[in-house]
Amino acid sequence: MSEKLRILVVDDDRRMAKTLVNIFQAKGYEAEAAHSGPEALEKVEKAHFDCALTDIRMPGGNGVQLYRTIKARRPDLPVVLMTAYSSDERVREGLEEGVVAVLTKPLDINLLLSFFSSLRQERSIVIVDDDPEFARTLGDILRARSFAVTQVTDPHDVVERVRPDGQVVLLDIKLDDISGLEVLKGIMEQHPRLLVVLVTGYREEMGQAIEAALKIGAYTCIYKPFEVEELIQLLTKVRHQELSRVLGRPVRKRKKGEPWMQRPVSSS
Amino acid sequence: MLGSRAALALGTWVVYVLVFIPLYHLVGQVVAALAILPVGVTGWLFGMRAGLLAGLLAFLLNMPLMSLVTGTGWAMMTPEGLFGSVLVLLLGAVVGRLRDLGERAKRELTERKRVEEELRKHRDHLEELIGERTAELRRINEELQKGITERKRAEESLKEYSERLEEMVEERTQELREAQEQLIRREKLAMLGQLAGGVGHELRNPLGVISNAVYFLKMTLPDADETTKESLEMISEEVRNSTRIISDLLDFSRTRLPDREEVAVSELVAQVLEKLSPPEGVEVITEIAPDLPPVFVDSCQMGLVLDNLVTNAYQAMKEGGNLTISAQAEKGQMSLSVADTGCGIPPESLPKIFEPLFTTRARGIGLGLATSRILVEANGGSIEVESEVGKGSTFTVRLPIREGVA
Repeated sequence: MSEKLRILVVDDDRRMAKTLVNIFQAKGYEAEAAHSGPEALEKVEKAHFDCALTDIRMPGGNGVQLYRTIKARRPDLPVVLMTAYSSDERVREGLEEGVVAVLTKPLDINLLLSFFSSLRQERSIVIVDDDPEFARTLGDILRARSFAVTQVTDPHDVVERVRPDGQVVLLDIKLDDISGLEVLKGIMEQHPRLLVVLVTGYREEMGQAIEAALKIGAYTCIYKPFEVEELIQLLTKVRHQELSRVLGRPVRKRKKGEPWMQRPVSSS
Repeated sequence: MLGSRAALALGTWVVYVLVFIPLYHLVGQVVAALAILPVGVTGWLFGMRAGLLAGLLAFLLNMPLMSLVTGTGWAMMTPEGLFGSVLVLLLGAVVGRLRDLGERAKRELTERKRVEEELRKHRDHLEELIGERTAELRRINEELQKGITERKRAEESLKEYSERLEEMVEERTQELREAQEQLIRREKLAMLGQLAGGVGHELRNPLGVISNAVYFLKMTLPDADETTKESLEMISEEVRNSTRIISDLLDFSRTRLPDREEVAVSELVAQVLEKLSPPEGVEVITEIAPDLPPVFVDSCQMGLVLDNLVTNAYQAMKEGGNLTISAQAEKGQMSLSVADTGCGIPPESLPKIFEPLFTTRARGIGLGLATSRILVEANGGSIEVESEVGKGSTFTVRLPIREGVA
C-alpha cells in the first residue's frame, strides 16, 4: 500500500469532480478525476487506486457498468456509487452486485472522509492456531498480501491480544487444551463487534461445535485444507461489508435459505 | 157466423109466419105488432139497413097475411096498420142502429186491444233491447273502469320507477363526479410528483457542487474572520434545508409499488427510533408486546411513514413532553399509534393535514403526511388522526397482518 490513499473520482459534471478532488487533496489524499467510464477504466488500468467514487448517470456508459468492468479486473477495489437519483433502478442493481455503498448527492463529506480513514486502516488478521507451522505459513502468505498478521498459539492469550475492532480473527476450533468454543465465548464477551472466522480440519467431528459457535456470533466457518484465494475472497467481502457499514448502508435482511453471512448490528 | 145469424133471423121469420094465424084468432089484429120480434132480431143481427129492410119486409109480409085472415086486401092500409108498420120499421132501424154502434164499439175495442197488445209487445221488445244494451254498456263500462285502474296502476309504478331511476342517476352521477374529482386530484398529484421529482433531481447536482465548494472553503479557511465563517455556515445550513425539502419531494413523487414482506413492528419502530434521537426534554415510551404477529408491509415505506410521524411529533413538542408508540393487534390488523403531548392541531386544520402542500409550519412544503397516507394506503392500510390543541396528537396507522388482508 502506498503512503497516500489514492482515490479516483468519476463524474461527467466537471465541477462536481473538481470540488471533490480539491477537498480530498486538501485532506492529504491523492485524488484524480475522470469524466467518463472509459477514461476511468484507463486510469484504473494504468495506476493503483484504493477507492473509486463514481456517478451513476453519465453519457456513454453508466456507473454500474463501470463497476462491473472494474470488478472483473480489480475485484478488491472498493467502488462507491453516487447519484442524484435515489429511485434509480441501477441503484438496486449496483447494491445487489456488490458496490460498497450508494451515496446520494449532495454528499456527506465527513462520512466519506471517515470512510477513507477506515480504508487506510491496515487490514489486520489474528491467527489463533495451536499448529505453529500452519500459523506461520498462512501468516507469510497474508503478509505478502499486505495484511498485518498477529499469530497466537496459546489460546489463553487471545482475548488480551486482539483489538476491540477492525480485526479479523481466524480461530481454529479444535485446540489442544482449551475448546475453541470457550475461546470464542471469551472473545465475544470482550469484543462483541469483532469478526471471528472459524477454521477447522474436522468438518464432521466438529459439526455441533461449529453450529454452536455460529449461534453465539462467529461469522462463518472455513475448512482445512483451503485455497488461499478462497480466504482472500472472504476477507475482501468482509472488508467491503465493514466499509458499507461505515457508509451507513442498511444491513440487508437475510432472505430465507440464504446463509447468514452478515453479523447482526450489535446494539451499541 | 153469417149462416147461423141468417138461420136465426130466418127462424124468427118462419116462427112469426107459423104463429100468425093461430095468434090472430086469439088476440086479433094486434098480432101484426108481433112482427116487431123478427124485425128486431134481424136489425140486431144485421144492423140498421137490415132492420129498415126487415120493417119493410114485415109490412109487405103482414099485408098478405092480414088479407088472408081478414079477407080484405087492404086490412093493412088502416091507420093503425100503417102506424104499427111505421113503428116496426122504426124499431127495426133503431135496433139495427144500436147493433151497428155496438159492433163498431166492439170492433174499435178489439182494434184498440190489438194495438195495445202490439204496443206492449214493442215495449217489451224495446225493454229487452234496452236491457241488453244496458248490460252491454255496463260491461263495457266495467271493462273501461278496469282498464283505467290498470292504467292508473301502471302509471303509478311508472312514476315510482322513474323516481327511483332519477335517484339512481343522481347517485351514479355523484359517484362519477367523486371518481372524476379523485382522478383529477390524483392526476394533479402525479403531475406535481413528476415535476417535483424532475426538479428535485436536477437540483441535487448543483446543490452537491455548492455543498462541496463550501466544505472546501470552510476547510481551507480555518482562520477566516467570524463574518466569513458565519456566511459559510449559513450556506451549508441552507444547502441542508434544501436537501431535506428535495428528499420530501422525492419521497412523495416516488411511485414505487410496495415490496411487501412480513416484518415485526418492534423492528420497524426500533430502526426509526435509532435514527431519530429525541430533542431535549422529550421522553420516548414504547408499548409493544413481544408476541405481536408481524405486519405484511414494505419495511422501507413504513419506515418512512414512521419517520415522518415521529419527526412531526418531536417538532410538536418544542417544550418537551412524551412520545408514546404503541401497537395492538385487532381483527386481522395491526393498530400502531404514535402519540405526542405537544401543541396539537386546530380542528379546522384536521381534515386537511393529509392533503399535499398543506402545512402549519413556517418551513416545509407539507408533503410528509400526504406521502405517509399514500404509502400506508399502498400497503393496504389506513391512517387517521385525533388531536386536541394544547394536549397533543395521536396518529393511528392500521396495517394488514397477513397477505391478502387489505
